[in-house]
Amino acid sequence: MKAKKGKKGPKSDAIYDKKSKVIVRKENPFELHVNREKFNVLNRKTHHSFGKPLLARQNAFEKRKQTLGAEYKVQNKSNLFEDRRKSGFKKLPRESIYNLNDSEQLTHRGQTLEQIEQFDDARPDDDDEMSDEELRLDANFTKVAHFGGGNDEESMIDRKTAIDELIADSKKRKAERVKEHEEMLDLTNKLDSDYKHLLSVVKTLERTETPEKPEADEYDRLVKEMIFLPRGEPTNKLKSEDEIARIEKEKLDMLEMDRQRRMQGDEDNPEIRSTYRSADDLDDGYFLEPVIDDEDDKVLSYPLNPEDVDPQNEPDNEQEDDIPENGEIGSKNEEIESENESENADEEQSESESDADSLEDLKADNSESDENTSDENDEIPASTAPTKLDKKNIEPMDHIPFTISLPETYEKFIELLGAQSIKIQSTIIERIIKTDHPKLHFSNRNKMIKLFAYLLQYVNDLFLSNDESNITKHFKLVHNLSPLMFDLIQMNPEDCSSSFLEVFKEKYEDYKKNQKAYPKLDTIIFFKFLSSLFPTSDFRHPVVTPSYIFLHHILSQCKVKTRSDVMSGLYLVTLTYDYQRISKRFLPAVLNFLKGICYLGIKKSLIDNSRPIPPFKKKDELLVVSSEIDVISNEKLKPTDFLVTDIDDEFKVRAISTAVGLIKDYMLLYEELVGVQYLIDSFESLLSKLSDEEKLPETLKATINEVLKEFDRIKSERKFKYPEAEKKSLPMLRMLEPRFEAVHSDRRQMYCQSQGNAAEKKKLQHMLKREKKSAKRELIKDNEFLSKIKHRRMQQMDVERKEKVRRILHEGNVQQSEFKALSRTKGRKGIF
Amino acid sequence: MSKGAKNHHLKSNVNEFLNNKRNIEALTNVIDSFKNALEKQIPLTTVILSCETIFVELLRSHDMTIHIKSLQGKENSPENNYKQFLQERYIETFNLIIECLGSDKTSDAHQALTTCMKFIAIEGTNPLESHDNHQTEFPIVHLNKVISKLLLSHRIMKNVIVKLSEYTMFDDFCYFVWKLLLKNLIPTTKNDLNNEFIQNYLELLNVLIPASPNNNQKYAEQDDDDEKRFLCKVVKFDEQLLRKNVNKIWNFIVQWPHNDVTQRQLLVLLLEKVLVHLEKPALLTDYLMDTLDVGGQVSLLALQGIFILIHKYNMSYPNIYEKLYAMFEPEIFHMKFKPRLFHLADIFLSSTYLPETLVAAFAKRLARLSLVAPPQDIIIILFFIGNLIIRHPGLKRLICDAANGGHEISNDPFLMDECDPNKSFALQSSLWEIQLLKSHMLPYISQTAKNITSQPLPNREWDLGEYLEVKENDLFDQEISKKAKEYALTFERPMTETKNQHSAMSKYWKF
Repeated sequence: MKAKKGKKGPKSDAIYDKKSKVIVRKENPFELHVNREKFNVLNRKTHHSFGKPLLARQNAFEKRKQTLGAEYKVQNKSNLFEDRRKSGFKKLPRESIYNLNDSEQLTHRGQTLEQIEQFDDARPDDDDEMSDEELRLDANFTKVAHFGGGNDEESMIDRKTAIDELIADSKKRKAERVKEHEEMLDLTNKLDSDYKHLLSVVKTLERTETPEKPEADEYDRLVKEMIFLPRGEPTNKLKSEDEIARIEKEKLDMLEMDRQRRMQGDEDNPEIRSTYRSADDLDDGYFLEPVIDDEDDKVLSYPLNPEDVDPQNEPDNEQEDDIPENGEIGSKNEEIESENESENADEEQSESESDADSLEDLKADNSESDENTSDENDEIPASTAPTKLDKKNIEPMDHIPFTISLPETYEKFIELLGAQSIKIQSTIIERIIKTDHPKLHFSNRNKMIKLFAYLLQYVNDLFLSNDESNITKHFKLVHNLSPLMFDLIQMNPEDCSSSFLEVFKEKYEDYKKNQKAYPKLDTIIFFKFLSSLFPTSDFRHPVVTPSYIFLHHILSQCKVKTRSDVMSGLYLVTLTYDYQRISKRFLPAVLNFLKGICYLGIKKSLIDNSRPIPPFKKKDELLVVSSEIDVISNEKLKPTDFLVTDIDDEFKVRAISTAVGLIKDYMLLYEELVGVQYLIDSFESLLSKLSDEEKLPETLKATINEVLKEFDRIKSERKFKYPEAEKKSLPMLRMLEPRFEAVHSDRRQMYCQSQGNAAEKKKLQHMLKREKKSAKRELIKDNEFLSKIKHRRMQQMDVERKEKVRRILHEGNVQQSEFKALSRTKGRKGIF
Repeated sequence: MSKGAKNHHLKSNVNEFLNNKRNIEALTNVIDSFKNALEKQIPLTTVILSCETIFVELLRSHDMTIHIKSLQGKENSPENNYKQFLQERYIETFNLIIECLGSDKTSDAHQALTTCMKFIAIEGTNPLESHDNHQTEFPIVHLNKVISKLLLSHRIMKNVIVKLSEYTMFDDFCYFVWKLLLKNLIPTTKNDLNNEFIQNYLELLNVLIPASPNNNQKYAEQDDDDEKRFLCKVVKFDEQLLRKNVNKIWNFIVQWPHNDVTQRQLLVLLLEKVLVHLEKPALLTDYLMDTLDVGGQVSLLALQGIFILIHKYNMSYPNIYEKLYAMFEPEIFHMKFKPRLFHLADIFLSSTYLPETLVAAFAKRLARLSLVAPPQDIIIILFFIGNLIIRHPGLKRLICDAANGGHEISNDPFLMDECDPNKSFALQSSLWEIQLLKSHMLPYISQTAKNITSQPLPNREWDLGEYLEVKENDLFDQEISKKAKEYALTFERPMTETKNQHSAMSKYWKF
């Protein structure tokens, strides 16, 4: 033990000594100062029940001595003595006192441990590399080589021989090691071969004992299957919208260029041709012969649907086919075409679909002569679209450019649309959208907004100038425009919506001037767009809700006097049904209007005193059928009805049957609503009166009776139910805020009671006062200390001086006494 | 002759006559051109003004005044003869001007009226015949001409009569007009008592009777400057006389045969002006009860009259709630007086001591009406019902029934056609209409309906006043002015109509 202790440094020794010393000093009762407590308060910790004034004073003195005293010592001294002996050994301060290891990085062979540890099991496979153990020099060597300078016997041996010996020794050892390794290898090989022999034995044993492989269960099979599943192959990255738009534009550009070229009648434009350079072109003046002949190319192209292609009759097919002749562009086009053909990539499909659209429009345009609109079919599978080109389709394309940019003014826009047929007009607009697609250039955004406004204005102007010949066409155009308007508004929802709303505002202002008359078609038609552009089922919508108010205003205020009034009203009511199909909300004016139409169709007797809801007038018999006519009652309403002024029996029947149908639809729509019985009641009486009308066709009467039966069914299903008190959902437990008690640094009442700014301020002021007080006290004590030091120094000096004086006096005395003694002797001598 | 030249001609004639008052030719020229203008129906203002200048001058300078010594009659001198001639011209001109009162052009009629009044005022101080005892007489004959013209001209003279209000500040004017009105009360022939006459008469009364609140104030104010109070003659005209006249006339005009328009006018007059002056307002009860049955706006006005009687004169009227109940018809939403009706109904139903059956019937009837009402009225109705429920907490069971909740019966027990609110079984029903209104298309309404049914009602009633005058336009503007954060769009590309087989549009319309 002791020896071990002795080995430790002096520092640790001191620490140990300190620790081992058990301080068993007993408190001196006279050194204690007891703070007597008057009351013993429960749970109050008492910190200062004892005080050690002497100790405290001593500590304070010591502290002052080290701080103030040291300062005092060097006061008024210009030179300074600094002991550098200690500071030289001072360690640099650690960056972080808790991280003990950050300064010293353990290394092994010049590499940090971390680096080494990355190769967790690096076995030395090279012979030259020696293990740590081997590398270490043996004791004898070091003895000789390092400390060989002594006057030992062995040191007499020549140093050179010693080193030679050393080398020989190490070589020997190396050879040994190699040998050892070879032996090891041999052994391993032998073991392997032995094992092989052994294995055959073991195998036979196992075969007999262990059964066949266990049946692969579901999981295993799945895993296997998954292993062999074809993996996803890396493909080209999907095209972004911008790219699609660009490609689309490029394509149209190309078509346009081609069209212009054909228009000029210059089949092989040298300019375009010369741009073609073969990859093998050596610039030696020999050009690759450009392909001139269309027919040559045609041989190479394979139409998807061979029946459709008739090269003789189809000069226009060159629109597609003669593209490859223009080298670069042609090749590009081929790319695009091949893209079109690959059907599994989505974006390509959509691209070709849009292509199909434009072509299909043209097709439909021509087939318009077929008259029946049911033949019109815009949605055609994309892949077949290009093949559906036939001679007729292409013709209109000849005079529509493929790229059309938006005209600057509305007048020019109108000029552009001109008196074209509907399909061409919508194609033109579609192409404008494609040409100036906002994805192509930022500034196109405004153009699209402008185009939207143009379209609104265009529709407005069209419906201002209705006549019997074109009203059907106008309505058709509206239906074709809605998808385009949809596209446009998707691009700029805010701007387009607000311009749409502006239209409604304007129309409302116009309408307000004469609130009793139905607005003209140029107002009503905009309600048509509402449902195709905006979600009409929204609870509140910045565009839809105002238009509902407008619609309500029209239906509740306008007087029904003419055929067009009836038509407008029915049109709006039909639209409202479509608006509300999803949300199933109701508008009183709509139902009132339907009631009114029924009322108009009933012949009133003299005593009949029933009153319709305004704006319908009492005893108005606008729609009473005067003569029995044989019409199919489910004939639909037509746009031309808006323009005819006289109300003939045929129209009356149609209007009434539409109203009856709508009533039924509405009631079925509202079937789930609370008071549907009441709504039905109000219609029921009117309808039963209507079915008693003599002149009404039998078919219509039958329909009415059917509707009435339906009503009975609904009514029998619905019962009057007293309203239940709304189930109160269980109130959530009150979340209690954790109550933090304010921590008071002072227990005194004045801090505990009040809170808030004022209290805080007071508290701070008090603390300040206390601090001031203590600082004062400190200063006083400092001064005391200093004066004490001064005093002590003075005393010391006094003592020294006294000592000196005494010594001097003493010396003087001695001297005097010696002198006296001498003189005495002298004198004696002298005397004697 | 062009207009300018004509005017010039007229001016020179006037000047000639004024320079030489013996220039008969000039005078006759002026009067002839007046007649001419009247026949040709050209603007009359200039002619009237020129006549005015001539005769005002004549009256002021006493050039027409015939001095009559007492007990002697007038002298027959050439001087007097000439004056006599001038007076005849004067009367002739006056009659012509009165003709102008019936002019289609308001400016002409106004000018004619001002000129007449000017003549009357000046003639009052400068009479045509001066007597020895200098007593000024009010030219009542002229005034009578004016009033008769206004009343009996078989046309509605409202615009001219309104102009008369400028003169009602003169006591003597009022005094004599009242006198004339009393005289005209009984028309000479039956035919004269036509609608136009009645309307004009009522309008005149309306002008003549001061608005009630500042009645006393008016007299107090005008005590200060006496000269302004009289047109030409000092007469005593005070409130008492006014009351006497009003009462006397009222008893007559009530008995006239009234049609809808005059009835309404009469009621407005009664409510606004006459009622405070009547001595026995209770006598109105019969009249008001009769008119209450007329229907429409008239009965509403009668209702208001009854309300005033009940409120201020302690009249009791047992059937008033039934009458009020009967007024709530779908037509009210298209009438001008709708705000007034709701306002009155709110006051009538403000008592918390009314039987619950009655209040429930009102609530229920209004709720039914709300199903056909325009949006702005639905809001009024909803708040009205809300107020009723706040006043009568017992009605809460109409919204949520703790006892019967969820119980089903075959039909709503409420009878909409029942006239007697107490027999309508409203209390046995529920306010399902408000539930239905939750699915109204306009968000504002469905939100309000939701608030009324689902949330605890507030302690304070809603102030109906701010909703009463809301129009559809205001709703539109309100909705427009809301700042939209985003414009939601449809996500489905619209197809052509033919493809969309489910829509009602394709079902009923063929494009």
